[in-house]
Amino acid sequence: MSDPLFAIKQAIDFVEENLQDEIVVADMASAAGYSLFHFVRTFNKVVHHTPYDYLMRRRLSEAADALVSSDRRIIDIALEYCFHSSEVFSRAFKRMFGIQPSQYRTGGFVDPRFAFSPKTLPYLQHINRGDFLAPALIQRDAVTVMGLMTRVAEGRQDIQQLWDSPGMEISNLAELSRYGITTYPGDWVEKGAFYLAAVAMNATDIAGHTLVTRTFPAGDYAAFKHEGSLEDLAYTRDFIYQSWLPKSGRRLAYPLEIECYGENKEDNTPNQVLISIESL
Amino acid sequence: MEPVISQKSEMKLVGMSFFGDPFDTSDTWTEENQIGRLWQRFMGYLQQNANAIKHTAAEKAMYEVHIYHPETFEKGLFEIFVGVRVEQLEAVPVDLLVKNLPASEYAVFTLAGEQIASDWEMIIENWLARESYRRNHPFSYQYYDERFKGLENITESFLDVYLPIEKIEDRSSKK
Repeated sequence: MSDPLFAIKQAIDFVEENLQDEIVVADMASAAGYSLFHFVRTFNKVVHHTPYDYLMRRRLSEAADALVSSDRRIIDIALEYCFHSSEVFSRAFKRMFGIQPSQYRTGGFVDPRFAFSPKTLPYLQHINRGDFLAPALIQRDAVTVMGLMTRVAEGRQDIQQLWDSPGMEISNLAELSRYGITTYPGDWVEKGAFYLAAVAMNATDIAGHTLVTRTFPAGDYAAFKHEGSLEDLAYTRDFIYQSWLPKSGRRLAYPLEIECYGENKEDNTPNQVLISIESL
Repeated sequence: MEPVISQKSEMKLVGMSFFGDPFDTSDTWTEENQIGRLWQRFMGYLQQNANAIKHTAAEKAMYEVHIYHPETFEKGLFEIFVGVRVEQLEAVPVDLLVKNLPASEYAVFTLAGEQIASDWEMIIENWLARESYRRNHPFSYQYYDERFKGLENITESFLDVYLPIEKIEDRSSKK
């Protein structure tokens, strides 16, 4: 029997080729070479979405892109992605993005955190590796941290430089818990998100003047274990925002993301990612 | 795996059902799929209400029926029904449903061991594509009797799958 991940990837590729065609879940099953029932079972297990939900989220995400990258009429975009009326399209769109298509267009950009990206084989391999997908829901007290901040447009090279920077003037750095805190300003898609490489501050710690101090709010957080490499972190993040959050009955409370590093100071891969959440 | 073709008369089942994607766990956050939860709901009900179902057939067997609707092909949503066979209907409580399975010829596939957890529907589809039969009703059912030892003992288990069929007289007219 073929590897289920490869079979499911066939169905995913089929979806990508037919986003504007009237395909049904039974066609996705044929593309995978599975019976419909076995396909539905396997797809849910591997992708953590129902096949129909996957198809709808992909169509809506492409439609969202068309809304901001073109000035075609909304009804034309709706029809192009197989939504048979603007009412049906608006309802589905609002369910996924929280706002009407026209408001989304006014906003003027697609936030890649929340648009549903086509899932790749490395992504599927990553999320099927461990049990990190079910987060621990925790309450945290406010934490004050200090460290160095930069904008990260792409890649994480800049982040490693922060940790190694002579500006990181903390006398007992090696003894402190390390965090990486990402915040998302309104222009982050163009200019990058802010990343603060920081340690939890203690009154007794001696710090230099180059450091930024910030306090992160008390509240509810969802904590996801990260297993795998630094490159895989993007997949963990995709899963959190595109798959877990929309189905969790919760939303982001603050637009920030906390990476926690392990005890081993040589290890530059975070082992946990936290997002700040509240009930809908 | 070759099926046995057998004629069966009409059957009345009493039980419970689920409609939706059986493997969508997003609203529950449990590992258990909806079919497992349906069985638990039904068995729990039987325990609490031992005499709720009257005229139960003299067999130690239970049925799991998969019913295909238009939304099955479009969205992957199935109706799953689990129940027991009764000789006649009497005072069925509001908690329970009745399914009338039609008299028909059935292709009976006996699944052994690991086959039970495999893509056996594909085996059936391939068989249908090969033989001069077609489905004549949009369902199939699984017959669980004492030969089924539970999923944890699947290697020693057997399960019969019944598919209602009719002969295609002229193969060229097959859809």
